[in-house]
Amino acid sequence: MNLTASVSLLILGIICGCYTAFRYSKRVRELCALETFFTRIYAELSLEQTATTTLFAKLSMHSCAKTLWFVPRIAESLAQGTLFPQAFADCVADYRKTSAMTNEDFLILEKAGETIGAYDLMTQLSGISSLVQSTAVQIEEAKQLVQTKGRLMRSVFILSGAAAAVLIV
Amino acid sequence: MERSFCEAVRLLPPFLKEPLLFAAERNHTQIREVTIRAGAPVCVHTSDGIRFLQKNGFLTTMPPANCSVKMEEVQECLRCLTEYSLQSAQPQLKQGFLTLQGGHRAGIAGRAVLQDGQISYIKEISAISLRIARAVCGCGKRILSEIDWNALNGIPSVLIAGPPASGKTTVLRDVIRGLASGECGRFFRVSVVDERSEIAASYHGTCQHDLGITCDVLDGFFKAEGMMLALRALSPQIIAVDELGSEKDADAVLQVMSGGAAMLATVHADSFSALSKRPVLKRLFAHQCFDFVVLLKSAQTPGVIDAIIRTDEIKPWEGNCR
Repeated sequence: MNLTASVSLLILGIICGCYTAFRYSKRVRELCALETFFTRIYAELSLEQTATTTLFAKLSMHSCAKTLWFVPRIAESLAQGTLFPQAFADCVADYRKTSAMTNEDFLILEKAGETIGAYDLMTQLSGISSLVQSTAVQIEEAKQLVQTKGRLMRSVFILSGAAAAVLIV
Repeated sequence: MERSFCEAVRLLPPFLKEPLLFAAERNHTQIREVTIRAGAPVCVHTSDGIRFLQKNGFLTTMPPANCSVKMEEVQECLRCLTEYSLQSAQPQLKQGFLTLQGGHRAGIAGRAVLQDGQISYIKEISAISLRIARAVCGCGKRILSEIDWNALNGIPSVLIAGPPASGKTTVLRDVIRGLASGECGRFFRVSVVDERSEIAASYHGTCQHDLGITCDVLDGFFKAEGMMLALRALSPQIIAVDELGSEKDADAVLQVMSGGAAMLATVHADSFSALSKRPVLKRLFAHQCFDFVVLLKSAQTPGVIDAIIRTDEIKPWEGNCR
């Protein structure tokens, strides 16, 4: 009985530790996809001045859309005739429920929603390039957190599980 | 309620869309244009004259108090009209207008940003004038039936003249549609040079107006360049253009005529005498470029033809203008 409980606690500790570490690395992946997303938008706008509906239809086929699943959703919503700010806000709000990104990261994303299509080309391009820079800073910070907090939390959870298991035995 | 009006108003943000739909439902006058100016109430141009829109959708003859549109609201209108794609609308915006789905047209006023002496963009847009496009099917019928398009001595060239807002483009469009749809006994090959996207109202590459089966549209081309390109590449029987005006246009018309194609064009003029006083047209009349001149009535009766005049009877090149 005691042995079963201690093994369960050990496994729980490992799972919690790995999950916490995974959340930290997931944020890095999402932020990297977000940076690619902004870079693609910059390229599309500067080269072709693509209309917002077409822009999102194109982006939804890009690899970054696998991680940022709100992108194809926005494209679908725009194709149905929803106005961009509404489509963007709704899809990002849904994405937020499952994302590992922080509030600060979402502020950057929301800023993108306010910029795309709403100003002249030069203003949009300068806005998006500043968002790329902000995302790069967030990526650096997220990577450091993976190295420090991520590892620490994983070790803490695993050791706590192991300690609890030893105590029960 | 009219479909074209609903279609145009659908593009506006809710704070304007709802009162406008209400106004159209309550009033039986036809709304032709809606002007949104920063710092002023919304102006509605109806068949009965200018009216002002209240927030509750009532139209008044005097400007209502506390109904002024804010600058941010004008910007919001522009964003909605461009479907949040100001970047792709920029080339059109710098010409001062925006062609919308359904062929409607938004004229803009703002501050020009110059680059190398050319307008590169219009910013601080403070006024938008939404003109509702209405196809008046059959308004060109008289031109199609009274003029012999199958004449033995060749296809006649026709000039449609009228004062502003008399329906010149609408009549031109209907005549093009008739000629390219076989309504005159055969299908004519018509090339339309649509400099300001007014005739075909191309929106994302698709013509919003029916111009017939055998019609080719050169959208956004300058009239003179477009006419030459059409003549070289599309072997048209008729070339149609809107608002002839410059010497360059006149040169191109002369080349088109010598190239064997007929012309179908519009021009601003209140009367026949005003028409032949314009140097460009004087020159074209001197070369006997147009076989017929169609005069439209007035802005109060858009699309109504006043007279169809044979130029060889009047001989404007001899100065016989009344």
